[in-house]
Amino acid sequence: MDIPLTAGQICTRTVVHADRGMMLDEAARLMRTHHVGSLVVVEERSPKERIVVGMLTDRDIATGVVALDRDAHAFRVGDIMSTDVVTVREQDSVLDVLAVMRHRKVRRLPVTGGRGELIGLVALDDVLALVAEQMHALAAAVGAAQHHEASATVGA
Amino acid sequence: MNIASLCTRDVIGIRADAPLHEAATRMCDEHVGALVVVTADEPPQVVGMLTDRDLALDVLGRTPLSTELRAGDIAKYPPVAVEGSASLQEAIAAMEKAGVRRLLVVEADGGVIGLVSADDLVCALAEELQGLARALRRNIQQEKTQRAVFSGPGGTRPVFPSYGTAAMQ
Repeated sequence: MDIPLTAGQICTRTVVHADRGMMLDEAARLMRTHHVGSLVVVEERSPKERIVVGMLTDRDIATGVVALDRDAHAFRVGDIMSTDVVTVREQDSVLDVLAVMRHRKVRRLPVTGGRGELIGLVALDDVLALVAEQMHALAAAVGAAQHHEASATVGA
Repeated sequence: MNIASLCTRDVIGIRADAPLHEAATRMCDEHVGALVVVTADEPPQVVGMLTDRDLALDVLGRTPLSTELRAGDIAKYPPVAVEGSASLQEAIAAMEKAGVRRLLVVEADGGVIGLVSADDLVCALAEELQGLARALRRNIQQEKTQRAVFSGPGGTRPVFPSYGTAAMQ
């Protein structure tokens, strides 16, 4: 049995990413095309090894550029991304992920591998999906126990 | 538990003719991710909903860029609403059907009560579940103190072919 209980197992592996120099309007288009609320900003060490250097959310764009009524063309991702990014390692448990989200007040965490390279993104929604799935499994176990009891007592 | 009892009553609004930077500033100042878009009438009427995501993606993600946009130009119409008397399940179904994570909560006559988000529903469900877990644990404790361990032989199991009416208090 392989029950997913680590960050590496429940995270999304195809992460939409950008680099610091990307223009902000292109970043917004990327979020729009891929239906995501955040981009992981990376520095590419090699085509297969990307290091996390920041995060950019749709809200960052709204409050950092639209609110100031500034020309979006004057901004690059690196200008408004948040740089104090919290990451989790792929072997960290789901409970660790939840604890980090709670303490750092974030709902998305990049997941990194052994050399610090980006391998995925875990969102609060992923944890919720896992919990819901396990609740369903719990309900099935309750149902199975009832069924077992009913058939075991017949003719007793 | 109905939606009126768990929704946020502080609904922040913005006039449809307000410039976008004003909408963004208000979201920032009020620490909210969504505003209701209202008419200039008195009392104002809620005609739509505007989120931080709309501001980011529909302003910058749009080509060609337009700087003359107003809140009303990029808001979503009409707002997806549920009645305050709706159950948790009905609210979840409404979110699922419309593909949104926030709902406007209204009276039967359309009066606005508040806003409810998917996050609010998660919290309410978690509380209910925790309450149930507590009830089950208490039930075991109570049974330990009140009921002696039964060790005698089993009696006949009373089975009634047809049930009568129950004695009601």
